[in-house]
Amino acid sequence: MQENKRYIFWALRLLIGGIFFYAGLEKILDPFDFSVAIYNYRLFPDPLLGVMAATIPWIEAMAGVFLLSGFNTKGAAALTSFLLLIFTGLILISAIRGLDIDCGCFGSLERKVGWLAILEDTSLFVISMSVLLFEKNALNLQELINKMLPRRIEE
Amino acid sequence: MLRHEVIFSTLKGSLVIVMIGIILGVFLNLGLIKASINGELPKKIKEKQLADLKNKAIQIPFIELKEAKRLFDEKAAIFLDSRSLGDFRDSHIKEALVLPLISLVQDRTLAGKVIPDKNRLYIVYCSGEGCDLSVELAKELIALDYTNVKVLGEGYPGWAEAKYPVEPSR
Repeated sequence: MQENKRYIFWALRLLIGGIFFYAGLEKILDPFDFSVAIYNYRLFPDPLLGVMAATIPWIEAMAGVFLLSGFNTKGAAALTSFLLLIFTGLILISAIRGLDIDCGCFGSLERKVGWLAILEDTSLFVISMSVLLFEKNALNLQELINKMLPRRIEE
Repeated sequence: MLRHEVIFSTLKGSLVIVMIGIILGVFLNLGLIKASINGELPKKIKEKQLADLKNKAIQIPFIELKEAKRLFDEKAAIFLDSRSLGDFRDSHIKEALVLPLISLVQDRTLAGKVIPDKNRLYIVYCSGEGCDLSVELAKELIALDYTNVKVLGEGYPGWAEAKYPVEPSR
């Protein structure tokens, strides 16, 4: 049973890592398009658009890489949880304001701001938090290297 | 590890990722950041959105902002606000009529009540380049046999930015 739980959290870590890596990569490939998405929220000052469009995708993608590889998973899961909390808040504010815009969540993949997007982001937040709180670093590169290192010394 | 040590190491781990992301993002997108700081980026964004909007509605005629103002001055066109009633009440192009797209979709007889003359020139607008309510309303009106409907792509924000008359006046 304990082993099964390990596999579940391992799968959830890969899921959230994969989603963040993909979401980041989509935006890295077209940062101007992402700046349009940020602009549409009408919440941020114009001089900040470029910095946000340039850095957020890389932060997302790097968090995804860390979650997928298994290095620094707690730090990455804390970061993805924090980002998801912010994203959900932004979508919620925009839905309440009645903005009919693309949420910009996955670059070229169109997804409108609304209750469905809020539900999706909330679900991802719950998954990300469960990885942060319960994942025991199972089946990752760091564990693999840790296991290999003593053997090498013995050899 | 103690609880506060775990929290500290987690936050440190997050910070490392944020720093890597910022360094890579800034280093690889200096042009975009520069354009944003010197004010060119919002202009480029508006141009792209207007082009996208026009591509989305090839069969719908658009009208330039200055041409719309000329027709406004000559009282040769009726301006139609396709946004919500709340947005309209907040502020709109002076003397514009409100015909929210959502209301028209729910009750198509509303068009005849608000704008009975099907042969006048109607200029439809909404919240600017990123908004397609005006295009959708124009499509609906054309389908209802209105013969002269045009879209003001820059919408209310472009009109207000140009300091053209709005009401309530600001």
